[in-house]
Amino acid sequence: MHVIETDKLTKRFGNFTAVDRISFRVESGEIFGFLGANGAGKTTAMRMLCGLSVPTSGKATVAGYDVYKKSEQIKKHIGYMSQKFSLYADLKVWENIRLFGGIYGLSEKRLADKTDELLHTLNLENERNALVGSLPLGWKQKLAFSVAIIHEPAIVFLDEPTGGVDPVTRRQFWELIYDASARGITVFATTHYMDEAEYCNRVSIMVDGRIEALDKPSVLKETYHAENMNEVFRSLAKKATRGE
Amino acid sequence: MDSVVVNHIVKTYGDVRALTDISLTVEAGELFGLIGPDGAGKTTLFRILTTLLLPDSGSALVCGLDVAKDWREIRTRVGYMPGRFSLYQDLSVEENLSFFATVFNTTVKENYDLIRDIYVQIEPFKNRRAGKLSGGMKQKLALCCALIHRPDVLLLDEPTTGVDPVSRVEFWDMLDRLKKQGIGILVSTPYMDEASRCDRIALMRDGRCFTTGSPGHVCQSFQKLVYSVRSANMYKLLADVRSWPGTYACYTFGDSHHLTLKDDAPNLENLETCLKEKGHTDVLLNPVKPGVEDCFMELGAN
Amino acid sequence: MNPFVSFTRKEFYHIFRDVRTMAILLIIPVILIILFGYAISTEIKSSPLAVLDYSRDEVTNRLTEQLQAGEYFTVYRTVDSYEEVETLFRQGKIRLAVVFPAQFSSTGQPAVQILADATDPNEATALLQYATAIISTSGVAGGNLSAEAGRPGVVPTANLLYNPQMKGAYNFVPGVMGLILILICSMMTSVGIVKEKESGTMEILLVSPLKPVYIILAKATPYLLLSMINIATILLLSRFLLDVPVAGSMILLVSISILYALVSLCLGLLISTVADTQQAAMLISGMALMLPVMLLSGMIFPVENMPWILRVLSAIVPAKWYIIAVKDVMIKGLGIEAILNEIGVMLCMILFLIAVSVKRFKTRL
Repeated sequence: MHVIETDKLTKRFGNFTAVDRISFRVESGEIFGFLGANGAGKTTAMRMLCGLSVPTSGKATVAGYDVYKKSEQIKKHIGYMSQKFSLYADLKVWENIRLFGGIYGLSEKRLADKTDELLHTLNLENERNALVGSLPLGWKQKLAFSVAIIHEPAIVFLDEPTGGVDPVTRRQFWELIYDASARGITVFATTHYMDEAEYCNRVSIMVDGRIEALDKPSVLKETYHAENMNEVFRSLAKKATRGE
Repeated sequence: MDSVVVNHIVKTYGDVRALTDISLTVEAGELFGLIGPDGAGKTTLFRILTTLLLPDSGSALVCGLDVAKDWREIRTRVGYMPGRFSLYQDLSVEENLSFFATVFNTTVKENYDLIRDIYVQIEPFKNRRAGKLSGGMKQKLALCCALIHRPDVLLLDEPTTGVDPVSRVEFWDMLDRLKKQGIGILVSTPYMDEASRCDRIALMRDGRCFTTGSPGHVCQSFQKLVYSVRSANMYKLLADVRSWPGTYACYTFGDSHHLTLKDDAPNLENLETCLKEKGHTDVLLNPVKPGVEDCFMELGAN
Repeated sequence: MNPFVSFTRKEFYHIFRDVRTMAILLIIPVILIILFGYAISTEIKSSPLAVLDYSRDEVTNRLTEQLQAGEYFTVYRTVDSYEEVETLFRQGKIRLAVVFPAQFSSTGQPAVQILADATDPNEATALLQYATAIISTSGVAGGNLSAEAGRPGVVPTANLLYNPQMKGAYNFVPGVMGLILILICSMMTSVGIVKEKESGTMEILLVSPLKPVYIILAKATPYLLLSMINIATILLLSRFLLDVPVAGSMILLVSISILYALVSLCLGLLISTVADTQQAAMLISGMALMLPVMLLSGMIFPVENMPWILRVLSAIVPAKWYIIAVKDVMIKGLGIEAILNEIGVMLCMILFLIAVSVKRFKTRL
């Protein structure tokens, strides 16, 4: 089954086409890397898929729900985490978990179990009562990710989740992503770290609002005669004409 | 004369040690990189060098001037780009630039030659409000603004964070050209791959400076052997390699895993056999040269 | 170009580009004037009144007509008993009742009983005064009284100086001026400076040779100008909409307004050295400036009737001194010699605030 399916999905702002007829499918449990230069249209596309913005034209379903009509249903079945906003810095660790668990309607009992389980996995048991703002960035991001999937969504959207995080924690973060994917949660992530692109099952690269390439990292490297994803990305992104 | 000299600087906020005994030197015309993640203390160091904070102990010279005593003079001679995008979002590109020029008692025209290479790239958008620029463009504008008074030293705090790989390469190309003009540049970055663009680097973590030297020198100082491991199932491979008794550490590294070993004369055949027994196919095991990121991971492990 | 000019120009860009805020700032005085002038007027207009007339003769009829004739009262109903009066008071249908006893005009000492609903004491007092004034000046009761009793009654003549019609506008126009100036100058200046802190641009400005005093002056200039536009708006509105002309010297009025605006700017500056976020700056200026101006400046409640502690507090509210000075110049038409005291107090405030702010303004983070 395809968790995300888009067909010529387009978003225009005035006469500026932010997202230009993108069509792709993401399979259940897949780790999908959504790459592109700043201003290529990633964020706009992601917003449409999360049900936050209505497309100008084209079709898209997320978790089986139509983005035009069922955006409320979509929101129930996805998790979202971004680099900029993830958790409330002035709330304690357990309060954040409880808050987001509550938002997604987890029962008291389940919430309590989930909280313990989550703190244990993240090795944060001693920080249960710490304010989130006092944690190092990497820990925060790992916690934010775990909270974003606390309701076991069909798919989780990650917007540059590891920006500025140290190399060790960044890898631990990706191991969390692998775990989630092994449990059947589809992961849809943007990143500026090209080594992270290698960890994805498939990668799409957006240039000027269009998807210029979409395949497994190994296939992309072959096609573009590149040694690594960094080179693939650069050879594609250089074609950008939108001076954005 | 050295652009920046830092001598045993210590800075604490309450109980938090932000910087512990930091010393380093940036020569004129040198591109010096502070490599470290968020929270390493890079921003605190920049604020001390720009005279915005006073160190608890230790001293620092910028352009030969003391950061505590000659702060007024230093402020006219450094170009500073703070970590956050700090221009006026509601002013246009052109207005921002000319504003910062007048703040420093100069004009855009006077120093145009210095910023021309960078400015031509954003010139098509000179009437656009800065808040509407993309990440890469914003950073180029901020660099122009920091350069407009022809500073002797450039202090750039994470100028490439959140910027896409293509714009990042362009940004570093600009820094290369600037250092050739004799400007000393101290730049921080959380991206390990950018370390190779620097003349010298210092690895920073938890307020401490670890290895300092040229990127090649830093990598050579790495004591352990590094191997890259691949197989058809990379995720399972990670757990299986880690469970092998001879493994010191194994972590993901792009399309392969990097493995460091406990002893110097490793029995690698044994590892290969082990992995095949666990059902791995297409196992590839090769020695690789350690990179800056490997060195950094080692710091984290200790 | 001169850094100061350039900086000031930048400030104007900020203001002009934030169209919504600018519109609000320009419209606020208009709204306040209209609000105080019409909606929350403290003047009495057409208060419902009941008349209980046991006499029902020519004189009482004329008195009732006169009460009705003025703009202060409307006769809600003529009633027949005290019970009815009480019911009407309870139902809130009337604010005042006038009782004429039987044989009102034929007794030697005609007496009128006036009952008022004193749940709002200020209003009750005012209503009583108006009603008494109408009855005693009607020439009916008093005339008859003195003539028939044959002795000259002591008839006090009260003249209301400066504001003969007892118009509320004479009180609130200076009040609104005091409020607007502090709002624009303090709040906007502090928010403007704190915004630079929040956006990180202050970091760059500090690391430049730009002198802090330039930053502050450039921030203040546009708002000073804006507040002068507001003062002009208020004076025009009060002249042509509320018929409150400026009795004294216009130049003097504008000068004390600028002086007061400077006090406000200094206050805003002080707030900006304390607050780290725009929200905090807004709250502090709201709580620490607006409320005292509304409550302690004498704009709404007379300061003289307050407990001594509040009276002392009111002395440090700059608006109090400004409002006194404005009333003296604008309403009473007095010259500078009458307000030297107020000018002196405001000057001292400026010096004190500048000293404290400059001391507190950090050249580092």
